[in-house]
Amino acid sequence: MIKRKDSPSAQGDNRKRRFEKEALLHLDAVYRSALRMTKEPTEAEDLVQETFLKAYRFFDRFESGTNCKAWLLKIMTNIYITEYHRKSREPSGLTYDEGEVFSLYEQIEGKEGKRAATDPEKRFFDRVMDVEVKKAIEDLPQEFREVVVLSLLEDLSYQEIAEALGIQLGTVKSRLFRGRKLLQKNLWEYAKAKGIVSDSPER
Amino acid sequence: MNCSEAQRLLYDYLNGELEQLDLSRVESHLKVCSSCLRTFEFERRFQSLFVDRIPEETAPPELRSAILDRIDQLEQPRTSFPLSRKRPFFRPALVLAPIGLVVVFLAIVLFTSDANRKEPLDILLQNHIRAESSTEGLIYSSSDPQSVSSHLERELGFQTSLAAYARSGAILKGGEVLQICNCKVGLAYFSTHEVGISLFICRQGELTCPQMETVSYRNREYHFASIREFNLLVWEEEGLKFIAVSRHRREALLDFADRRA
Ligand SMILES: [Zn+2]
Repeated sequence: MIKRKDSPSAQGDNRKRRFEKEALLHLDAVYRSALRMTKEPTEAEDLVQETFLKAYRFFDRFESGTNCKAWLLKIMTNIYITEYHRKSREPSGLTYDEGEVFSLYEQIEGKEGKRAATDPEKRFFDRVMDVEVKKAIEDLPQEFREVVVLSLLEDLSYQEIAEALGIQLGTVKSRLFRGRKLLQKNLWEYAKAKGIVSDSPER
Repeated sequence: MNCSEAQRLLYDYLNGELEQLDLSRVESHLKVCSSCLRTFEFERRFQSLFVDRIPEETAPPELRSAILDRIDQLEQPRTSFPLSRKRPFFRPALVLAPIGLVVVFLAIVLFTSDANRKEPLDILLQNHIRAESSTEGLIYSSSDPQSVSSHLERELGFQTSLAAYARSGAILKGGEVLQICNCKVGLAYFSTHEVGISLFICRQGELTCPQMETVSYRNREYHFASIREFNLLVWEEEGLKFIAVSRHRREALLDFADRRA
């Protein structure tokens, strides 16, 4: 056993209690994001441990009252980027200004709309399965997945995401835009594969 | 505000990133434009998929206790470790990714007999190859590479280049300091999927140890020692001292060194 019998100092005890109350509170959120980023439960758990341990060491630098979850996610993405996913950091090769940007709305309203009698949107959303929503995120290229997870799932602001990932605000916005479109495209493709929808012949 | 301007602000609006002025302009456009309203509603609905439809995943309970345990560890007074006691590599609560976890060793060799030699050894990681995994031997563990590294530095009395190593992709998980003949040897444990023999270069410092035997292999001279379960091979190349450490057999180390040369 590594643990020693000496009891931790009172100061450490205090710090630990505060840490539990303010930081460990967000364990589930950090874990979920780690899962979406790594796509691997064991790797996610490792990453989460690293994150909280580092957060604990630097807890003095955290300003009480500010967004602790954003702070933790920043630490997490930082560790993730620098230590876990070095190899896949190369840009996916997708550019932001590809001529045609996929619009799920137009697909559903324009093409499916003609076929379905009532509310094609409801029909579509009702048939999307939970597991597909998750898959749609995990299938995103790395650089889009990061911003999508932090924004759509964890509700971080553009500024917080920019700080977490060390990128420009404008980059956050364009990746998020593109990320959403790719998500829509992914979901549309899954639906197509299941035969829920199909591309119209005139396309 | 016209439709194209409203569409341009759509995502900023949904993300709650609009300033009050733009916000009220968008909202008044939506009151009069049913076409924009529909797309806004659609995108909002789409966005809510990701909040509503991803199954609530909660962290495994043992993850929480593992974190708390390790915080306790951090709070322990930092004293030097007894070198004799064998400890488990990871406590069960910490074994979160045991499969495929390959442990790698970094050796930092220092002669304690020379009290003046406290300046940083210039140790550079050069290369590594695959090795089998290990399940024992950890004395010090932390998920924070910096704390492992500074602990080893304290114990060894000089600066390490562990950060340089970590850049190659491994995460420093722990380490220990061994006393072998008149040398203090620091071993660092890394988790990674592809590392095995660790090779370091010392720019300063001699490496002779009574326990080291001199081995000749393909017309080159090496120094070899077994330190507990680790094999250590030392040789010189163009005035630099190379140290390779691994659990591999001596022949594998010799072959590794020879292929490098
Ligand atoms: Zn409009």
